[in-house]
Amino acid sequence: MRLITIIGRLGTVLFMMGLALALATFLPPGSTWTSSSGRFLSSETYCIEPYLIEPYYWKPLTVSPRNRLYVSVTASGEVHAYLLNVSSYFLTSWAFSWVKERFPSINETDIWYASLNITVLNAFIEANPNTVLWKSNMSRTVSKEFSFRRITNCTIVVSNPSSKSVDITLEYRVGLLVVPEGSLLQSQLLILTGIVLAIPWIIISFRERKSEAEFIHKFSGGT
Amino acid sequence: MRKNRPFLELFATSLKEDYSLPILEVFAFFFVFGAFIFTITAMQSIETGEVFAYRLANSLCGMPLFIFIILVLKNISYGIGSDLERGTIQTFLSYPLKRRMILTAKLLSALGVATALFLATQIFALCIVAPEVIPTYLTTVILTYVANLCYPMLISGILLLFVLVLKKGGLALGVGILTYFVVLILSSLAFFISGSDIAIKTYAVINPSLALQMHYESKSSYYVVWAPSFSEVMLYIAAGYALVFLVFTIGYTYFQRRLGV
Repeated sequence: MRLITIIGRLGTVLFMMGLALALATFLPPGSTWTSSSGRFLSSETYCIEPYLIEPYYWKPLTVSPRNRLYVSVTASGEVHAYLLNVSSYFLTSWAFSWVKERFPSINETDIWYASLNITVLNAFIEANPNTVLWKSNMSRTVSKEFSFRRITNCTIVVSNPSSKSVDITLEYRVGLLVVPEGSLLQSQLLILTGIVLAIPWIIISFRERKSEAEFIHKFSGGT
Repeated sequence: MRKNRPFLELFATSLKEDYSLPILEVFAFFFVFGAFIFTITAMQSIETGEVFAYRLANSLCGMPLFIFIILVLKNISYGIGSDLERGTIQTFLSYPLKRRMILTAKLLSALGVATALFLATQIFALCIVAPEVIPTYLTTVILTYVANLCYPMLISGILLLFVLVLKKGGLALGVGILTYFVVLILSSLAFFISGSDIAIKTYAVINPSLALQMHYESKSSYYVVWAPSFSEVMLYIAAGYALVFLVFTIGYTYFQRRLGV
């Protein structure tokens, strides 16, 4: 009986630990990084975030299963938004090389401008189709939340395929989850194990109480 | 085994008293949930390596440590205290056990099981939040918990003395809680009023987690009042536990020789 009690109590403890973990998964994520910027996007161009001015100032957008990424784009015209799983440094370097290869005679400044043409972006996507994690429909407002299964380098891209220039506001926020994705499954496992361990003890305790009550009832003359 | 039977009987009785049905479960819930509440601050830290491991373990045990103190104070005051108050201790004294073994069985239940539950939930929470931290920075993690548990142990020892002298659980609990907060407030006041590091060093003997905090904070910030080396931190932890040992030795000696029931 003592062993059953110990196992039963261990079960109830595991059950409560699982319950606490399940509750912790609902705690709101904290914010680690927020960026909001207004841009002017000429026709048939694109812009990226994190924006690469100089490699020294560049901070990669690296996310893990612990993070949530919130992206919001508001534009004066219809645009496409992408989430690519490459660093913006990689994308920029690729675009520079692509332009240099095709137009070897143009200078550095022109390469930079040319690399922001939508043709270069389309070429990149065509060459690396697996890097596209998400592509939005043509829209004036785009808002999306992402979660990740592994550590990933991300780049947010907004492209303007139309013949008119647009003003865009691009916002993104990296949220930090209190407990990582997948903890809900662990909590369910704990709760289930707890229930399985506690059941024999609960049944025996219930039976003992019942027989105790019957005993008292019997010897008190049924009153 | 037969020789240990009375001890185990007493231990089982104490367990039943200290952790009757919802108590153990409720505290396990709060230990786990409390661990996650302030974790986000440590996770947002830009620090890496040892400093991150320390900050994470420290933030994980912040809230649960307070809950742990409540559990231990409740166990000692209402477990041992009510045994003395109601005279149940006389039954235990009739067991073929030495007096010190009776106190050991009571403390093992009140303090030992609570510590085991606290540490188990902390390891569980740490494994959930950052599983790579435990194997990589095992020394830092162990040291953080050892340092953080010193002050609650000291308060438990002081409460035990109060319980043994006053022989009243409720009153001893009140005095114990008061001591806990008075020491915390006085140490902060002493530091701010004196403005020197002597007050902080004195307090670090009572609460070595402060020395450990200063040690790791000095690695990431230049503006620290006191930057103890690793060996100094170890000395403070040793001094803190020597104090705990002294208080418990006084408690045991009193229980063995002076306690009249």
